Parts: sequence; structure tokens; C-alpha cells
Amino acid sequence: MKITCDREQLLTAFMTAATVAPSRSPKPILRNIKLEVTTAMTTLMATDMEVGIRIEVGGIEVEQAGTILAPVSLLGSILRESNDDKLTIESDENGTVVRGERSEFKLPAENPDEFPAVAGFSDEAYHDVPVRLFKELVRRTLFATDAESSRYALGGVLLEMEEEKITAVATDGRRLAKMEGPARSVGGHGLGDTMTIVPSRAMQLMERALTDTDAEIQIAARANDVVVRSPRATIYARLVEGRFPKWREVFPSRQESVQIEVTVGPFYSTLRQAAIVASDESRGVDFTFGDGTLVLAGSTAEVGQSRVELPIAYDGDAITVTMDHRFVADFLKVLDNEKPITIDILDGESAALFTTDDGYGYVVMPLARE
Amino acid sequence: MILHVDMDAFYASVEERDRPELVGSPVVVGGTPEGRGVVAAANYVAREFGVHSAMPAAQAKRLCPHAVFLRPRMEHYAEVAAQIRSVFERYTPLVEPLSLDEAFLDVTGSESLHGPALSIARDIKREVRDGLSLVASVGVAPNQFLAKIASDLEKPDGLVVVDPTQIQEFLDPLPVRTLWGVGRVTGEKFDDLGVRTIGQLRQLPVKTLQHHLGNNGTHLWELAHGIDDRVVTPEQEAKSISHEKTFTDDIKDVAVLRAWLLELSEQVACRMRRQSINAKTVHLKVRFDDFQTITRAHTLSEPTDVTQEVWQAVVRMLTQKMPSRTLCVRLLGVGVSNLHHGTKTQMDLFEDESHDRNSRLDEIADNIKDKFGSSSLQRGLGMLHNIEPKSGTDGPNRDQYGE
Repeated sequence: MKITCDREQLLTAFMTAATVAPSRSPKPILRNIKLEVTTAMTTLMATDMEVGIRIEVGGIEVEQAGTILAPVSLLGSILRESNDDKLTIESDENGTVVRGERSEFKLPAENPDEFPAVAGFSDEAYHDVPVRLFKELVRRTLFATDAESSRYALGGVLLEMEEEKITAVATDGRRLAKMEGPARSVGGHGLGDTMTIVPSRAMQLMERALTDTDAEIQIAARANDVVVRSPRATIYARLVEGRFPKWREVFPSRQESVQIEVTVGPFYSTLRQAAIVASDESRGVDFTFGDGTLVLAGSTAEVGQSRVELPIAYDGDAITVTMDHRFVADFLKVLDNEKPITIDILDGESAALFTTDDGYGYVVMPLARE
Repeated sequence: MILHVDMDAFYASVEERDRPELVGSPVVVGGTPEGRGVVAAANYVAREFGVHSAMPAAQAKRLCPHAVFLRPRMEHYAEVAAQIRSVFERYTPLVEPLSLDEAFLDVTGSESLHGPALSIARDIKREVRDGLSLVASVGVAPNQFLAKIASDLEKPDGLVVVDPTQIQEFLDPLPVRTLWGVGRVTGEKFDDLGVRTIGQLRQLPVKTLQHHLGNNGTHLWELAHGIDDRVVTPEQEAKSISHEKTFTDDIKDVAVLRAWLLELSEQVACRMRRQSINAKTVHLKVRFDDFQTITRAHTLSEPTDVTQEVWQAVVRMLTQKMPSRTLCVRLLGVGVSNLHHGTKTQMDLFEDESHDRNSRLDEIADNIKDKFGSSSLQRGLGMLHNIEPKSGTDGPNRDQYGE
């Protein structure tokens, strides 16, 4: 194999792929990255057997096709430390040589045939999802996952796909984030009742690997795994095994509750102020709605107390809900400051529901007095 | 001298005090009128009907259908308890609270300043009555054991003094079940032996007691003689809570270790519950026969005071986080840190039946132990460590942690 590559472009693709390769593994071969060169295209591949990625690299001049394995840490350092715009990579049975204008690195040869296969995308049934939406699905739910849960499979994001819709849900059992948007089923995909829980790490990787926000991706979910294809990258992930709780049953839909509209920026600022006196031990902030004002009050023994007001359009009976301020902040963090949101509350012992006008819903269970 | 101050029907009395319209009606704190939950306290009117604490609310409802059932306001009771404690602390710094409604006070050093123990006891009763409108029963005695018995003898509004020169006269006529650690099982053994009073028990040779009751026999023999040398230890703001057990014979059987871990977890969790503390981090300590000592910690996603959850965490550390080596354990310890004193708990989106069930189980078990002594109720698995080790577990083996 012999190629000349654009160092920047290779580095960008390499860094995405490298996040998949395990730094420690009982299978040392996985600490390599596979570079597959045909006359048509050049692909980088990495896997830890749970998650796999194939990512296409641009800016390659192919002199001779072929395949090599290179240790992730070594190749990464070379690509980062080199000052050259172009590097040539050449290999034979004795090893791989990376050459710059005034530099040369020799890397040991490993047999590329021993590297596990990294699944590609060959499915006929899939969902078309706009990249822009998919990135929001991930960004707005991923933070609510919980890898530690022993009761349910909460270490990933649940994807539910319908004829013209995709819904992503994540929860840690105390709060729940749900984001949905329009998507299109092709070939009858996703209309059964398989439970697609994609590991957090894979979701993160997908979000990161998808750069072209105007494009569409294809998602094909099967019983035990999922493959996502974008114009540049294909990502494979084994699904999280186990049961996701019946989230629709706890997602509030109620008539008798109170709905209050606020804007993210001022609300978040009020919350951050109230949380100044919060501690790891007392994370509760009292949200009292009433009298045209939302009062946020925090209190920690030996730290202090806070009371911060925000004018709101609500004059009904006062309602106080105590919530973990970090849970509320997690939701506000992923939204733009100008975004209007609706807070839906019932009483101090029922879940608070935060919604936006673009398919995002977030449920927070309050802290209750014993 | 030691004082044992025990508030009469504490939770119910606080409710009656705050809502005078309840006075004269049967009041049950804890449980719902629909009959769910457990009675935490009943006032004396309700007790006339046979209602008592630790009873299922459904049963209380049957015995006394017209009782007023109230949700416990633990936070409020804790505030009142703090006010009561500040009364105690005016007389002695040596106050050891046992729970919200009872405490030991060592007034030995205060007698020259505040007068004899009896008059301190009267003053405390008066201050609690006048200042807080609550009634306390007080036992005055040379040690904790006797003071606790004394405070119970003339409830409510009791004041009983045990003269240090007349301990036997005081104890002898009392039924043997008055002794700490005599529950149903031990009580039945005494029935078989024809022992009904503490006086009769005292006359048995200590060897006989040891024969029938093991170590507990010695302990009961001492109590029957009025011997109890525990010291009143004022509670300090704890940063951690732990219990350890050193074994006379090293333990090689993982099942026995798990059983001991359950018992230690129970002790730790029980202390948390008494002090209304939850902990987020659980610690395991293992010392091997060669004195290699290993400690492991695990932080839970939510603070807990549930025995089962503490135990699961330490068992997981024992089975998954120990080095591969010969299992021969000399000491085992369970601890918690990262303590949360908050009275607010994060609610779950999805009903956690196992947590709720275990939490209720703990509550009931604590109540039973309060009433009948700490050995009156044990978990089946925890009792495993009492059985003889299986044969064939000797000798060095690797990876014996199970699972």
C-alpha cells in the first residue's frame, strides 16, 4: 500500500475513530486502527467489539491500494506532532513507514486480517433522520442516562421509531428527557416493537461523527444492534441489554395542572443564583409559583440561604415544588437563552414537566419531605 | 447517677399539643386510615383499645375504627426533640439520645451544681411540661440498664428512683422479660426453666445460664445482678458510621462472610435510621489472616438507610473488587460516609418496589427490636454465621468469593 494524505483531514477522521479504540483491552489488536485503501476510497476503522466505526477520509492520493493496521497511540502522535501538510504512508510485510518532508517513522507490521470485521451498512429497511434533528436527539437526552442503574437498562438512549417520527428517551429514574421529531420509515423499518437502547458512548460518538448538518442519516435497528450511516461515517453499536421502563406511563399528561411560560436565559440565571448556597448534601431548591412571581429559595445549614425572584404570568394559588437544581440546570443547559419553555406543575409531590415548542419534554421528580 | 428520660407517646403527644381538639380522642400517628403502613405511635386513649406502635395500621383500624390517623411529621418531631435536648443540656453535657424520644443523661458531675439526681429529674420533667407542654417519664438509677427499666415502670408521667443500695430489691420482683435481650425465644426458655422473675434468674448459677443461652447467658446474669458498665457517650456529629467484627477463628467460607456482612450492614443502617441519616458512600474493610487489609468504597446513586441496599453494595465489593488470594478473613468491617442529614428525599419516577418494601421492612424490624430487644428479630441469612463451618472449606483456595 502507498498513499499520500492530507494530514489535517486524516487527523480529523482519525481522532473520531480513535475514541472507539480501547486504551486497554484483553485483545491487544483492538488498540490498532485499520486503514483500508481502495482506488475508490480510503476508510479508517476501529472497534472495541461493542461499538465500531468506519469513517471515510478525504484528500488521499492513492498510489497503491492495500490495508494496514497501525497502533492508535503511535499513529495519533505522529499525525498530531508532524508539521507537514502532506504525509506519505507506505507499507510492506516488514512494516509501515510514515514519511514527512524531513521526518520518517517506522511502525511494526500487524496482520490486518486478524482485525475483527467492522460492520458496514447493508440494510434495506431503515429510518431517514435529518442530521440536525439527530444531533438534538442526542444532545437533549444523553445527559439523563444512568449507567449505574441495576433495575433497568438506563445506560443508553431509547430510540422509538414510527412511520414518520423518531423519539429518543433517556432517564436515570429521577428525571427523564424525551425528544422527538419527524423522520421517515423506509422499507417498513422500526414498526415492530423491538426495544432499541443505544449505549450512551455510541450515541456520543454518532453525534460527534456527524458533521454535515444539512444531510440525512439512515438508522437501521435490529434485535441486538444498530447501524447508523451518514455520508462519511458508518457506526455500529451493540444495543444495551435489558428492559427500559415504561416511560409513557410516567410522562405527565394532565389537564388540571398549571402551565407557566418562561424564557430559558432569565430562568437559568435565577436558578444559578438560588443554587449558590446549595451543596452536594442539600441539592433541593424550592420553586414557589404564585402572585406573579416565581421565587427560588435554597438553604444549606452552615452555608446560607438564598431567595431569588423572577416575574411570571401566574396569579393562582401558590404552588411549591422542591427540585434538585442540577436536574433543572441540565435541561436549561442544552437550550438557547432566547428559547421559550413551558413549566407544567401540579403540586409538591408530582413530577414537574418542562416542554419546548419543538418536541422536547423533560420530567423532573421533586424532592419530598419524608 | 444516670437518668433515662422517655417521652410519653411522643409523636402522638406532639400532635395533641399542636391540635388541642384531638385531646381525648384516640390518635394514631403513622399509617393511613385506609389501613396501609405501620403505627409509629399511639396516644394513651388509642392504647386503651389495644393499639400500639409497630402494629400494622390495618389492625389498628380494626381495633379502633374511630381513631384519628395522622401522617408522621418527622421533621417537626425532630425539632421538638432538639428543644427537649437543649433542656437536658442545661443540666449535663453527657446526653446520649437513643432516638427522638428517649435519652440517657449522666448527671453524676452535675449534682453538686444542680442538686441530687432526683431533683434534677423533677426539674427536667417540670421544664419539659411547662416549657414544651409535653410529658416525660424518668428513671433515676446508678446505671443505664436500671434507669431504663425505672423510667418504664410508672408510665405515663412516671418518676422512679433506684436506690444504689437496694438494686436487688428493685430488680428481683420484676418479670424476667423486663431484661434487655429477653424476647420471645429466650422468654420461652425461661418458662421451661420455671424462671419467671429476675430474682429467680439471679439465683441460677451462671454456668447454667451459659449452658442454655451461650454468651447471652452471661450477659443476662450480669443484668440480673444489676451490673451494666456502659458509659453515657454524647453523640457527636458523625462523619461516618461503621461497625467491625474481628473473628476468633479466621473465616474461609464466603457464605459466612456474606452473613456477617448482613449483620454489620444491619447495625450500620439501623444507626443511620435512628439518627435520621442517609449515606451515599458504602465502605468495606477486609483484613486477612496475614494482616493484609483492604478497603473498598462504592458510591450509590442516591443516599440510603436501607439495610438491604448497604448489604448489596458491600457484597458486590466483596465478590468483585477483592484481590485474587487465599480467602482467610480475620476482620470484616462495614461503614458508610458521605452522610446526608436532609429530611427531603428524591422521589423516583418509577416505583421502586424493592426499595419501598425493604425500607418498610427496616421500619417494622426496628420497631420490633425497640420493643423486644435487638436479638428478638434477625434476618435468616444473617444467622448463618452462627452455624458451624462446612467441612472441606479448609485449606488454601483461590477466588472463593463466589459469584
